[in-house]
Amino acid sequence: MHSVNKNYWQLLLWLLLIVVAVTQLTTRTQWQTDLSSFLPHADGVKQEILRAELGQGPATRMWLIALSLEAPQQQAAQASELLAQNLRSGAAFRAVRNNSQFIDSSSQDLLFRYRYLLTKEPVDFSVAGLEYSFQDRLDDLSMPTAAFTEDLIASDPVNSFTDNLNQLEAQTGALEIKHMEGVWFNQAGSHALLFAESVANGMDAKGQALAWEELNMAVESVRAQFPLLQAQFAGAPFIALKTSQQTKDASIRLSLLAGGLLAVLILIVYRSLLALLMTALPVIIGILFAAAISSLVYPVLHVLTMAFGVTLIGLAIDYPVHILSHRYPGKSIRSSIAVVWPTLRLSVLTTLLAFSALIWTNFEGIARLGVFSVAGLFVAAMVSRYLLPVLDDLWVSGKGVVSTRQRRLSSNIPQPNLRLLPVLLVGAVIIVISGFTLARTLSWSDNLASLSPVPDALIKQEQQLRKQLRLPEPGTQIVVYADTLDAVLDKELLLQPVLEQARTDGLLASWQMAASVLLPVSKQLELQQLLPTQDLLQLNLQQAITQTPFVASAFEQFQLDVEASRKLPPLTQQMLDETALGDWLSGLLLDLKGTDSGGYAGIVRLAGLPEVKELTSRLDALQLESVWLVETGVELSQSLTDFRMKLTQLLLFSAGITILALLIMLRQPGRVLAICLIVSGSIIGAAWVAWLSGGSLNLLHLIGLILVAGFGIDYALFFTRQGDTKNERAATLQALLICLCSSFIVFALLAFSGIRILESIGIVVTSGVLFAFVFSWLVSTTIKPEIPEPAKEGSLC
Amino acid sequence: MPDTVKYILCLLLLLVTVNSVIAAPEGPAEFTLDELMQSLAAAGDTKANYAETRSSRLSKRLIKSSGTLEFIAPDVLIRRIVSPRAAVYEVRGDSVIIERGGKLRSRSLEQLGAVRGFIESLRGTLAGDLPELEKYYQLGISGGQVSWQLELTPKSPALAEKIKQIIIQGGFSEKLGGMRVTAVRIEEDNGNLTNTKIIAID
Repeated sequence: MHSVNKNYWQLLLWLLLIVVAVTQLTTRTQWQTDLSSFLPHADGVKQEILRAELGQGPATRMWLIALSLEAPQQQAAQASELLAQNLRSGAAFRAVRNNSQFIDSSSQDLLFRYRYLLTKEPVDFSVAGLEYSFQDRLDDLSMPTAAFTEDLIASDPVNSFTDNLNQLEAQTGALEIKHMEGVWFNQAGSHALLFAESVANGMDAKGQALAWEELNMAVESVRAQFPLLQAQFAGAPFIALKTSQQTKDASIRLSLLAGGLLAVLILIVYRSLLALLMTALPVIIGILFAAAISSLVYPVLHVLTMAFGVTLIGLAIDYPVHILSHRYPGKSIRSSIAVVWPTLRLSVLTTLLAFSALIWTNFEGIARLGVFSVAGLFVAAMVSRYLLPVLDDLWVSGKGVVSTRQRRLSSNIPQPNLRLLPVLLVGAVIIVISGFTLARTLSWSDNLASLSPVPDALIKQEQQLRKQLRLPEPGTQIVVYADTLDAVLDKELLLQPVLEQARTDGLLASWQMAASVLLPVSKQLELQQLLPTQDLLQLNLQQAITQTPFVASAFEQFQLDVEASRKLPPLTQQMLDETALGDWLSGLLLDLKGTDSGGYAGIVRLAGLPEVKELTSRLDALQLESVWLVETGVELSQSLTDFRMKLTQLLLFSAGITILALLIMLRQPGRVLAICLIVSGSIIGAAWVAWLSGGSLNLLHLIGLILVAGFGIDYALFFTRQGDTKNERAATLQALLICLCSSFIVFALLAFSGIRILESIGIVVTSGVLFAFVFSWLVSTTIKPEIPEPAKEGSLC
Repeated sequence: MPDTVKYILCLLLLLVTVNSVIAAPEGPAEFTLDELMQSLAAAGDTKANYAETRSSRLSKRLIKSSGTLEFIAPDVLIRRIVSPRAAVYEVRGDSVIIERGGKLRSRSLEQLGAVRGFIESLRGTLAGDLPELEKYYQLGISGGQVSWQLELTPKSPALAEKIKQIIIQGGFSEKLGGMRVTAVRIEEDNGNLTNTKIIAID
């Protein structure tokens, strides 16, 4: 018997470790919610850009808002203006737009000053060119709106500023959005539309939560003035927020429900609160340490890692159940550990081996999941092995309290008289055949949507608003990569005629690219070189003007401006930094300096459901290097496929290692074969069920199958123990029944949770544990129990 | 003539004068804004030739242009410019369509800022749409049914910055059997003047 003193020291040590873990977790852990870390470690520029886009692209920052009032549009328009003002005055949004005047006065000033360095074609300043321009301006003055254009004509008779703006507006499709009362409306005229770009990017969940708060407050303050105001929201950050909220709510609800049911089960079986505590502690402490250790290894903890990891660590609930079930009245838990530990140790070891396969992927998200689950399971096993006896000594045996009373659930279960060899043979044949058919018929779905927990209604609302606002589809873009920013812009300029033709042919509606605003420095310098000297311009102007009623002196400003343009340093992205146009540009250019590939990427965003196939072939015909039409969805699916294949390979590899380890440690080839059959049988069975219920399998099913393997190994190891007495066999059966019930409760709840990603795992594991139990039990009935005699401690496994 | 007779005559004259002064409001009725708008709205679709002269600080002489002006109730106004060069400026509902040099460009009226109110001055008048006109202008009317003059003074600072006043003249045309606009005069804040004569097509 351990001395009480030593127990206290051990308890203290555990408490200390827990404090350290909690401190680590609360002070150092950052949470991450985007999917980018579940992409493979960038294998190339394309993936790199995709990762950056997914986490920080402007789409991840765009909040879409629709306002309606049961009142004239004028009021909805006023509400829109008011909301835009409120949001602009806050700190959470960096750009708020509710009409097409997206070129603010400071960007307009720059575009005006640089009008002669930003023209698509060189301006013709010759006598003939100017004559032509003057005739055109004369036409302008015959237009009914002449009063509003005269000033501009005086300083820009060659019309460069207007031409540049027209081109920009035409490309972006900004003018096609319906306007009423000066603000954007949907086509039906029922909702005023706005969008607001948050300062925080998509990775910054906290920043987005703050933005949501600010947005709500702004809407409320508008509602004070317009009590009937209705507001609808959409956009990636809104969807992410709602989804994580819903998933979180459901997870908490399910956890509480599952926890309660498990507690009732444990209480019914063991009739002891201490037993309840003992079953809960390994999992709880395991999860705590898993999170702490993960955050020590990786700077940020992903929410998905946490969610899947916790599910995998749920396996550890079996550990204390085994120990408690083998405890006999009047005996300490240490004696039960002596009986169970060798088998349990083997079960833990093989599971850890299997799960550690995850750590060696180049998918960071999955590697993190590996670290998380391995750490958690290891700690849970250690808690079961070392902390539980301490607690038991201190609170039960130490005070001489009689141990938990147990109800033998298992004594009435019939024992069919089967023989091992035929069972194994029949099993093997069935498994091979069904496994073979499964492999041939099974289809995998690597569609992101099947993994996404986003409700369909939210997606539909999003698509509608996006279409009305002529916002580019977040999924399809042309990526232009080059070493320098200038080279990127050069390539984009080459794309423009192709895109213009494509629009004429109805392949897309509009696009946004950096080169619509910013020309390469080399091109600007070239245009600058072509500008006439002051004397030449004056001469040409004097001559050209004679054919017109215009007076030369009226165009003095024009001459001064051309002269100034000859000395301007080229317009750069930095100069536009503080303007609305600069914000717009920053979403279209990525500086990849910090990454492996370096260089710059230009993103050409396409709006209006682009025809990808035809566009791709037209782009290919240009034969531009490092220009790709990228469909985020397709790329992600490809990444997921790669990931799943890689994971499957690793799992097969780790299965091999595990079998080898079992052979070495058990030295019983027949038993190892039986274990293999049980585990593979359960996996195949669970895969069948998942496939039949859903039509295809996805990544989450695969994670469920890993869990099934873990449960299967545990059940099989315990059920195939040899040399057990009848009593021990009954205890084992009881333990496994409790394990089965507990897993069943938890995962059946998930299967009916209504949340897609939880359902996938739930269905697989629920059916998997049932198969594992039935198969293991069938095999166990073929093993004859030993005649009762005091077992030597530690000799069984 | 005896003084008495003189006196009576004077008295009679005075009576007549007073009478005529008192009776004056009941004579030829004063023409109200509402009446003008009603009769303009009743006029329906119209098409006419126009000739315009515009003074500009950029030009040493008046800039002349001409063409046709067509109004299709309730909200289409098409200006087909024939001289100096062909172009079409069409306002249709919420949008403006400009055809020039073989190119077509369309815009939403809403995007044109202050120009919107400016366009409504003529379209709103032809449509007889008083609320629309009052949204942008202070209105004053003078004259009568046969020949009236509508003075529009911009309300919004953005419009007032460019346009000082718009004066639209018109009258009832026996020949065409309806109310017609015959001239538009635009006074810009910078002193520019635009005079548009609208000549009915026989």
